[in-house]
Amino acid sequence: MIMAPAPAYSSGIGLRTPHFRAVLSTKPDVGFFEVHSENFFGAGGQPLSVLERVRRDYPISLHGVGLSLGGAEPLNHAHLGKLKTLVDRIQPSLVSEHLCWVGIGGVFLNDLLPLPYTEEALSVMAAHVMQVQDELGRRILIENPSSYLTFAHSTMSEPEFLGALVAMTDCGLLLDINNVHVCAENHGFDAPAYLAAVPAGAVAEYHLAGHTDTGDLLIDTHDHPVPEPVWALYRTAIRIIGDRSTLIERDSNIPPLAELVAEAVQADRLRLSVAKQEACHAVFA
Amino acid sequence: MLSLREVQHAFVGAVADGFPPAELDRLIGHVADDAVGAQERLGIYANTVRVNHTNALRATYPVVERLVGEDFFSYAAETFARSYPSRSGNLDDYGFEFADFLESFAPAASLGYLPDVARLELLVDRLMVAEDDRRDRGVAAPLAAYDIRLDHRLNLAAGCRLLKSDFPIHRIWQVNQPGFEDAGTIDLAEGGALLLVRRNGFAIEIVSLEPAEFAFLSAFAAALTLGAAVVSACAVEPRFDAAQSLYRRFGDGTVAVPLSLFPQIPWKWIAAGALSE
Repeated sequence: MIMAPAPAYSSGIGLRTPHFRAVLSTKPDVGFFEVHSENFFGAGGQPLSVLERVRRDYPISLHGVGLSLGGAEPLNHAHLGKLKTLVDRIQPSLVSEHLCWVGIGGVFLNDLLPLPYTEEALSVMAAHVMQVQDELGRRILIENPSSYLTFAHSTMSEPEFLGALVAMTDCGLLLDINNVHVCAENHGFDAPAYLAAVPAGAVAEYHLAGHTDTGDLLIDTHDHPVPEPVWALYRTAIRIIGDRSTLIERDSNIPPLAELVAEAVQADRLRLSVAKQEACHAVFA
Repeated sequence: MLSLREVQHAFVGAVADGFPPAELDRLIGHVADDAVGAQERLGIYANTVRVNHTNALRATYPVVERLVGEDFFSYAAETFARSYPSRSGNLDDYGFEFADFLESFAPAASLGYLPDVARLELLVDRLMVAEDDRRDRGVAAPLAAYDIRLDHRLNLAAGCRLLKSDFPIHRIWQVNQPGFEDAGTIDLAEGGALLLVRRNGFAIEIVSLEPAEFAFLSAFAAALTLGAAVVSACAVEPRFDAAQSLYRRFGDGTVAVPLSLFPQIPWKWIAAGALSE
């Protein structure tokens, strides 16, 4: 008899302000909640109180956007200190940041900016990831960003860069499926080949989101439901890389809570059905 | 070939300053240029940065936006961004200088009240995430138990701030809150505002103060002694009842007494070892 795989992984949604009350009162059936770490850097107030209450019932994933790990200057101590305070307070299941930089020389653009994939950028990124892991006393995940340009002097592909980063720092990866799709369209590479080149064992979480098509480029706007091409690539990722916890990401045009929960349920069904098919293939191959 | 640091400085220069030719030239040879041009690709980032920074200001200053309208606000936000770039990786830290900027923003010169409305909105925004007041008022000693003298310095409690304006910003703020129905009209000549802004639980309270009490509490905020606070308040209103105000504002958590002034008897017991035996 073939046993169904144990539910080691789950699907979650972002915890966003408009849903605070509904989440606390209805306790939706999702596996975890993810928040942007920086939104909870305040010393107190309602957001932090809600997060602590949600934490009593769910695992929390802290997802940072502002550390500027790829910045060619020292990390900001105050920012890292606030992250550590939050990590100590919330005891998250996962902590993640991005393969990017957000500012330089004291000027911040507060966007996930692209890196040239060079040896120099790799050593900067690796040193910063190790510093954060040392400071927090835990492994962090690094997410592949959406990008709208590439640098002519890059010497590595993004999966090669991520693979080297994992080898140097033992960090994990947060694979954003929408970002792979957006970049593949914008830069003209083969998305499944990208998935096959990423170190599968390091991938600890998937992100799913929607994007906007300007005609020339896809923009990672997080303002739509997950579209079919992203679901399709997600199935491919589960086949190539494996089943992992999955987040439905939505940052604007935020729909009623039930719609996000429904997308998480859809991700759960898809994860389990693809993982089961793969298990059958493995047994009967 | 540019170093990583040079690429990043050129990128910030190009995106934040509207693509000056020098920065663009430095960068353009490094950005892959194909069916979609390098400048268009950089433009995607410039647009996202502009929208993110404008939306961050919009979230902190909704009343200012309501007063001037969406288009005017966006124009002000974009002008602000050029003079006051973000200095933090945390977008929540952006825009603290918006009121100062509005003071000298010529298109808003006729709206003299706008900077102070912005100051009130920033205070409210920051207090919303300020440290929680974890004191348990139920077990706090009554004020009479403290040995407070005129040369002692009291404090304004952590979640409390004072704000003075020559304009009726409290009323302007109130009538521009979501769901407020009786908007009516506000006569700018109706006078200024002397406000105590504080957080009670997770709610923000804005209290209008009489001039003498505003002077009294301002002295605590400025770390002056109780005696100096009384003198300051009585200079405004000779019949000001300092004792009554102190009892009231201690009772409602606005005034905090430093630890060193905690009721003397238990301290004496502790010093004598009475409690440890």
